[in-house]
This record gives sequence, structure tokens and C-alpha cells, in this order.
Amino acid sequence: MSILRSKRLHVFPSQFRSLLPGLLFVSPWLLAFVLWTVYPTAASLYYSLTRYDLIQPPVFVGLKNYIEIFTNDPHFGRAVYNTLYYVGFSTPLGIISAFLLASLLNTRVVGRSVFRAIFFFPSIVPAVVTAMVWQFLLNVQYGAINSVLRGLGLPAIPFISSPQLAKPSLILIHMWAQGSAMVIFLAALQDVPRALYDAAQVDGANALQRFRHVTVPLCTPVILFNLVMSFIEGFQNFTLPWLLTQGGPNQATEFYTVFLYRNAFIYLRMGKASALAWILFVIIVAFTVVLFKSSARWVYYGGESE
Amino acid sequence: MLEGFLTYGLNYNARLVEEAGLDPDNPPLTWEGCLDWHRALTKFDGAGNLLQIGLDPYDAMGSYFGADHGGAFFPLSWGFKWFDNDARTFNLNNENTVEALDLMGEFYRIAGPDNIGGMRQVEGQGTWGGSFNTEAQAMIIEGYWHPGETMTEKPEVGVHNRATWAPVPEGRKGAKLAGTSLHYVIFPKDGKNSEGMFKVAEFLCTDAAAEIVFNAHGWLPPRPSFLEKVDPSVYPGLDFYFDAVPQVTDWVVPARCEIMGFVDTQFGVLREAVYRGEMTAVEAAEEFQRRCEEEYQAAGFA
Repeated sequence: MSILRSKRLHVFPSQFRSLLPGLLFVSPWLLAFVLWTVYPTAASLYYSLTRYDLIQPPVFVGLKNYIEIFTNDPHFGRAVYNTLYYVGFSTPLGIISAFLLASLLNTRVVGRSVFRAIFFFPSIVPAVVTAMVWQFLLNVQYGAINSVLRGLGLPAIPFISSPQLAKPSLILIHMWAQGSAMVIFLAALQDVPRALYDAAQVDGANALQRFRHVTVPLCTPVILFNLVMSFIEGFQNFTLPWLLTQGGPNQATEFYTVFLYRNAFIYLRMGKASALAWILFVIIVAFTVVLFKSSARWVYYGGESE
Repeated sequence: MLEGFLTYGLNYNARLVEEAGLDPDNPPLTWEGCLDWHRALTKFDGAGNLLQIGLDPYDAMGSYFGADHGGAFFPLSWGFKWFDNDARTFNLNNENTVEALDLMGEFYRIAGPDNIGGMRQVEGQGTWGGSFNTEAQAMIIEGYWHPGETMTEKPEVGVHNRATWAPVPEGRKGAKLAGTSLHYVIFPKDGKNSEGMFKVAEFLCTDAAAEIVFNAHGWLPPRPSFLEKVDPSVYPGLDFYFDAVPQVTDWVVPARCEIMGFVDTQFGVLREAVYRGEMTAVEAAEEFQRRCEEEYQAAGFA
């Protein structure tokens, strides 16, 4: 008899009896997970291999949707470019602005808690309200900012009606809503041991040097977390571009998810939209893996051995 | 059917027209004439900011390809069918489309694409005709409902409203266009309380209900017996639509195209590429035809 026995999981009846209550307790979650996560995910993978318009039954077409997306759809390339542009700028700028804000709010200043509330507030405003507010501010005809410019005899700035300015305007709005990331950074900043700052000060480090060599390294795990979340959110950005610009002007804000939505609910190409969703999933996973792999070079986990 | 009457007319603000030195009693009947009025009515301030536009040809009823709004406007105006319902073929790459994209694009080039885009972003929040009500737009291609809605929403602007035939190209001068669309009560097949719903629907089809709706919004039911009782003079411009019915020469026949949403979207994308100078009208027409044919095939309808 080989000493290398195949490993098989043996669950004895007594073990199963003790497992049962636990399974019963998690069964509601398990059921919901299967119904609303596993099933839709599996269904979308199947639909991505079909031609399906919601009205007629799905027709299996194999990889045709994927082939069409990569070889015969000029809008796909534009959607990917717009999304990469947005993610490429909004993510680092958003992280930097949130971190700097948190650093400022970590100082001893009168009314600090009021400032924290003010800066956090935008992140809890519903997306539709955010869109309305920024429409009110940025619109070239009736926006508050351009009303002031017109009153001063200056030309209005077409923030969201110019193809050149629409994406930067959306990035600006993204930076305004960094309250959640800011709060997380604040928690990390308050976790930095005071002793390290004192030691650095004794060694003659000035404020900038202490920030660069103490604060930032010790916050790198949280920076990584916010970076990953921001990347994912950036790739899935839909609500604001749809409400503010509907993918325009001149397709300048036709982001990936806007393109996906259009294929699904306006063109009724559910199969193709499902394929687009899976492609997006692969892109996001790839970016996340690259980010995590790179973290070994720049993320410092306190307590790890060198 | 609750509501439905004529869907195409050129509505204009007579006060703004007079201010611009134009004759409100002689409105343009062609696109070329509309362009002249548009040039006179489009105003900028000293810094080049748009204050007022004459006409946005892609606003309201000018924009749609959808059958739910009575069919596509520019093919009706240029007198051709863009989709053959029987042969299931597209007819978008033709000289009419080229001329239409070029000519209608000129309205945008005069006012500035970014400027009109900004105006549309506000109006696009579910308020057709919003820029007409604010007198930022002097002309609009809209249906019979425009006089009533303007008068009830903004009476100080509504009193100046007048209407005439929707524009056609110079080569078709004299053609008189019309379309119809309607709102109706829908009974879901297995809906609850269908008897109660039927009574509601019955009431909504009475003259009493029609009068409430007409007084509140200016909407009319497609019932000659009620139309005969209406005094169109209560909403300035409505009389045009009443007088128009026997004079119509071209009625729109909506296309039954399965990829209407795609066609509509591509029309918006390509016309913008033309008026922003990224494509010529010839290229846009070719691209329009190609994209629709390919999508029709990929969607399984070819």
C-alpha cells in the first residue's frame, strides 16, 4: 500500500451533525449568494456566447460577440481609451488629494471636526444630486461659474459641452468627492506612532522629511487599498457621465460602462453587453493583480521582517 | 387612445422675430430660409457668449428616428424612405442625407457646437422646449402640443407663439409635412383590476377628460367630434395645426426597424461629427449606412 494515499475528505456523521447548525445559520446568505451572485454571473457568461435581445430566446453563437468587439467595433476602442484616460488621471489625483486633505485634517486646528464633516459630505451625496449640482455649476449657458464669467465680460468655459474639457471636468468632480478615501487615510495617519515622529525630529528631520520618510511609508498599506478601490471604481464609472453628458459631447465621455449600458438597454444586444462585462472583469482583475504584485516593492507592512 | 394630433410644425416666437428685423407674417418654409432667420436670430455678447439661437434643427421633433415619435424627421423633410419595411434594407447613404447633414450642421456651426451642447444639457433634463420658454431659442420644430404647453408653462412667451409648416429643402418647396403620434392607455395582459382600469380608460376617452387635459396642457385627443368643439385661438399657434390637416402633402410613415435605438444613436454621433468638422457629410452618410447594415446583421435581423 502506498504511503501516498489520495486525500479524500471524510465527514463523519457526528461531524456533519455539528456542522449542520452552522450551515443553517449561513444558509440565508448562501441562498442569496447563489441567487443574486453566482446565478447572474453564470448566466451572463452564457449570454455572452449568445445573440440575445430579451424578446426572442437566446441563440448560441459561440465567440462571435467577443470577435465582433475586438475586430469590428470602433466604439469599443474609443470606450477603452476614454476609460483608461479617466482612470489614469482620476485615480492618482484622487488619491493625492484625499491624502493631502487627510494630512491637513490630522493637524491640530480649531474646528477640525467641522472641516472633516464638510470634506466628507460630498461622498455621501447621492450621485444624481451630485450631477444636478455640478450641472448647475458647470453648464456653459446657465451655470453659476459661467454666469460670473459672463458678468465680468469674459467668455464662458464649456466645461461639459466641449469634447476637450468634458473628461477633465469629470475628473475634477471625482476629486471633489474623495471623502471616503480621506476618512480612511485619516484613520491610517492617526495610527502612525508618535514616537517615530519624535525620533525623526530628534534626528533633525523637517516637516517635509518627516512626511516623506515616516508618514507616507507607514500609510502605504492604506494607499494600496484606496488605489485598488479607486481603480475598480474608475473602471465602473457610469452614473455621473450618464447623467451629465450621456457619453458626449462627441463621445468624449463614452466610458466603458456607458458603452456597455448602451449595448444592453438601448441596442438590446444583451449577448454583446454580457461579453463586454466579462472583458471588463478581466481588465479589472489584471490591473488589480499587477497592482498587488507591484506592492511588494513599495508597500511597508509594519512588523514584517526585512 | 387618449392623445394624438399633428407632430410637425415650425413654431416661432413672433416678438423675437420682430426684434431681429424679420417679418413674423412671412415665416420661412425652407431650410435655406430657416438658416437666414437663424443667422439673424442668433446673438452673442461682446465676449462671444451665446445669448440666443434661432433654431436647433436637432431639437425636439427634429432629432428623432424613433417610431414612437412619429418617425424620422429629416427623411420626411427631404422626401425619402430611409428603411424599406418589406425588403429590410437601409437607404441612408444618399445625396439627401448628405445635404441634410451638411445643411442642418450649418445651424450648429453658426451658433457654436459647444454653446448649443450646453443649452441642450439643461433642456435635456426632461423639459422639451425649455430653451424656447426661456426665450434663448426663437424657433423650434415641435408638434401641435407646443402652443398649449408653452402657454400653460410660460404664458408671457406663449402669447407670442406662432406656427407654420416644418421646413423642407428648396428643391421641395411647397411640400407640406405632417406626422401623428399618440399616447394611449395600456392594459397589461394579466393585470389586476382590469374592470376598474377599463372604467378609468373609458372616462379618459370622454370629452370631459379631454377638456381637462386640453385646459391643463393643450393636448388633444384624436377625435374629430371633440376637435370640432375646440377653440384653437386660446393657444396662439394652435390654429395652424387645425387648418393644416386638409393641406398635408407628405405624411410620415414610421419605419418598422428592429434596431431603431442603434440607428437613433448613430444619427446623433455622426451628425455631431459632421458639425464639429471631424467628418464630411459624405463620409458620415457612408458610415451611417455601413454601421446600420452591420448592426442589423450582427443583431440577427438581416
